[in-house]
Amino acid sequence: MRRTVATFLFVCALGRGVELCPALKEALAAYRLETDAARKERLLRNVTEVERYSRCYVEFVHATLGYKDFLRRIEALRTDRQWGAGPSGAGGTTLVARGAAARTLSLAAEYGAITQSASGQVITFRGNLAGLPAALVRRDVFPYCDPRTPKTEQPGFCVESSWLGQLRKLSFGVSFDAARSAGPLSADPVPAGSGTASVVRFAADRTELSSFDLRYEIWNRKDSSSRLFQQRWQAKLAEQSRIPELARGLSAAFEPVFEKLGASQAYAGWQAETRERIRTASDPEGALRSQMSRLGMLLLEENILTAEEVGELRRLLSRYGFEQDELMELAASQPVIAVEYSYNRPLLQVPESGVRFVFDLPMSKRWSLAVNTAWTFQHGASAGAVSRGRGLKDLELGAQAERFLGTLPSLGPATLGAAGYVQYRNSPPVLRAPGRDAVPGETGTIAAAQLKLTLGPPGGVRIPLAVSYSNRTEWIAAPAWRVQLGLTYDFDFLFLP
Amino acid sequence: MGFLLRSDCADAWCHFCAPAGARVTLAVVGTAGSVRFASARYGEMELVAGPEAEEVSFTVRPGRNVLTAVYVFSHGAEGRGRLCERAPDGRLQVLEEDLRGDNEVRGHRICGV
Repeated sequence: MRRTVATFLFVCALGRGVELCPALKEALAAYRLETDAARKERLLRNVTEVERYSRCYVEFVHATLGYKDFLRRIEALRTDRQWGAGPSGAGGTTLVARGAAARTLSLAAEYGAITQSASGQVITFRGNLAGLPAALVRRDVFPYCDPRTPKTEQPGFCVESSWLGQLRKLSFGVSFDAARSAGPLSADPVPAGSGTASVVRFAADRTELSSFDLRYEIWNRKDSSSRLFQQRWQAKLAEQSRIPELARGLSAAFEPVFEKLGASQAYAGWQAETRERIRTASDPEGALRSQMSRLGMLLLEENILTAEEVGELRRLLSRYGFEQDELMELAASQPVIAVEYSYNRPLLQVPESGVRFVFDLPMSKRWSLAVNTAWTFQHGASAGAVSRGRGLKDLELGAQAERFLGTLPSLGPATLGAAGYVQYRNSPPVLRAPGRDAVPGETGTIAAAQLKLTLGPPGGVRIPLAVSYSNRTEWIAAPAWRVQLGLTYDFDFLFLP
Repeated sequence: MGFLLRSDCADAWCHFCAPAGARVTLAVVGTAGSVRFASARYGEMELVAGPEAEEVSFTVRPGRNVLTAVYVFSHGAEGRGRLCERAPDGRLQVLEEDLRGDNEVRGHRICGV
């Protein structure tokens, strides 16, 4: 008994310092201003209902019970991300890059080439700097600064959604050429001006890293008010599973609490007493805070909630809030302009760097348009003909229109894209096969077109299937039809709760 | 056939009451952004079949019962909405004016009389 009284006094003392949530403050302000007696009484009744202000009460009780546990959060899935290698890779399914990258980490294995002479098999890891902290929040390692919680009740260190927003702008990709160490590779270099092709066998190069890139989203269009945003939000809500899973967990956790509260005479008594105290108080907010600090003890003594259950409810609420905020951010934020630096190591050629600007323009719920322009520079100095490969290698311009086809049975969300691409070669590519003289290619223009179908069966997998036509390739001055295949996996699914 | 749910119940415990055994449809309408049912449990049964729903239907059980609803808001903490009853002819009756994005879990006390 002595212990209960001491705990009660301790909890009351803690409660005085805990801030009310904005919802209850607004409700009390409305109560004070209301002049109609019946409406005023209804507002007062509402204020004392845990069933109505569940998050406010859980947060308050949690704070009065002295908890300092952490809140965690997660990320979502997009169908419009750049998953695999960029357009410059020897093995890639992408002719025109999209603006958004994977939110945590994605893995893409792609086979095919579009403007390269040799088809390659490239494995690309693509990630986002916000992916790791978001995953750690979801795994309850870092707390989340939930805007639904008063600032004073948030942990000393927590992950702000604004930080995640900034980190999300920076993404990276690392590609490995799986064919390089698999054995000899054949290609058909064309000596400058000869017009004829000759087959050259390349020796295998054991180094597998073929390229890496860094991408920064310069401009994200924020739109949370248009009809298009509402449509995007609804579509993304329907295609992800975190919110429904968390919501079901929440309703299953709260259902017995609400039922016990409904059957508790002590709770009904607390509500009546609280209403009376607020009615007669000069400081209704202080009166409510004082009563709420008593509620924690009442819930414990009535076996309605244990201290651990209060902590778990708070954790579930925080994660649910995080997922809603992430979904809103995902639907509202549309990358419009991104800049990408890439470093590419084509097989048996000098390394090259490129700067690419990506313009991504969602036109409507189903249509989007992406435009790319890029400059590529060759590294390294060589003698004789090789020196002609220095400096600006090529200029590129590409555009892709994509249409969301809807969600197909068993195949998931599907998109169909049509892309066009032009590359002007300012400097000839130079092939440096070991033990052979350097063989320069030709300058000129390469034009390509691609039709691509992307399927997204459930489970984080994406399957791009594409067919392309080019008037020539980098080494062969003859038209080429190509097929590109891919398989990507989104590691976001590994971070599901 | 009109609306079934009333808020002027004889039992002050109840938020709403309706004839026991009646089939009721609840709908949500966003007033600041969109709002959906992410989950709704009534009598230990989940009423939302898919990832979300704009409406849920259930048969009113006799006596005191709680519908535990979890709402999802497009505008996060700033989201607002209304809970309504949808009559068979499509008309809406507002039951709750103040669904809030910062208190997404609600217990609605529904009594079958």
